Amino acid sequence: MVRIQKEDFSIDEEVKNILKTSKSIGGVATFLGTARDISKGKDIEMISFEHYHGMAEKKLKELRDEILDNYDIIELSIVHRVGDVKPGDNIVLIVAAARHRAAAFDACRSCIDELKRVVPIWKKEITTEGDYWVEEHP
Amino acid sequence: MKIKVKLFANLKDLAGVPEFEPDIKEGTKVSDFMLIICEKFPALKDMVETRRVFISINQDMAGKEDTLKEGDEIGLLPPFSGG
Repeated sequence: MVRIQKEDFSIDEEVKNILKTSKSIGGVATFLGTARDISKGKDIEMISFEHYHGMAEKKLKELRDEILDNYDIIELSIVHRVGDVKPGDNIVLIVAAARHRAAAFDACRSCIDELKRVVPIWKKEITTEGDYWVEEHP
Repeated sequence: MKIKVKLFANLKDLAGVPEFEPDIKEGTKVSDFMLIICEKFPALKDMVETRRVFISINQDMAGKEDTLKEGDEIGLLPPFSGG
């Protein structure tokens, strides 16, 4: 239920897979992060993601366990892409399934906020005015 | 003792190497190791001094007082920006 991959993912497939895990699911919240075409006024041609292989997967698993422990949800999946993505492409998908919607929304929000804070993944924006490693995560 | 150091993102670009294997004294703490890094790669000094370099030991986040051991895999990590 946790993956880091170069390939694109299908939101439909990920939601279907999570729904297969339990008949008690009554609400599914998703967060989809996508690549913007402009950053700080600069036109983005490509975004390149690098990760610490091994540690990033481990931190994603720990994050999933923590969210499952702290929220009243049934299942949680996290998929993050690495390598090069173009504006408009998918980057990250969080799918949280719960008996009721409130827990699904809360878990989904908390998961993406924590992912940005604790998972060793880095983003380089390749723009028409040069390449920049991004340090902040708004 | 030998350790393996991996650098990522802008730290890798600034240092010009993705990894290296230094020979350091037994009992070296993370805080001492940061000084060694600044000496070996002066281009990283600014990021170290502005606390934009984090350290992992064997793929877990480490603190300044943690001690390095023979064979450890050390990660030099700039602030994360996934998502």
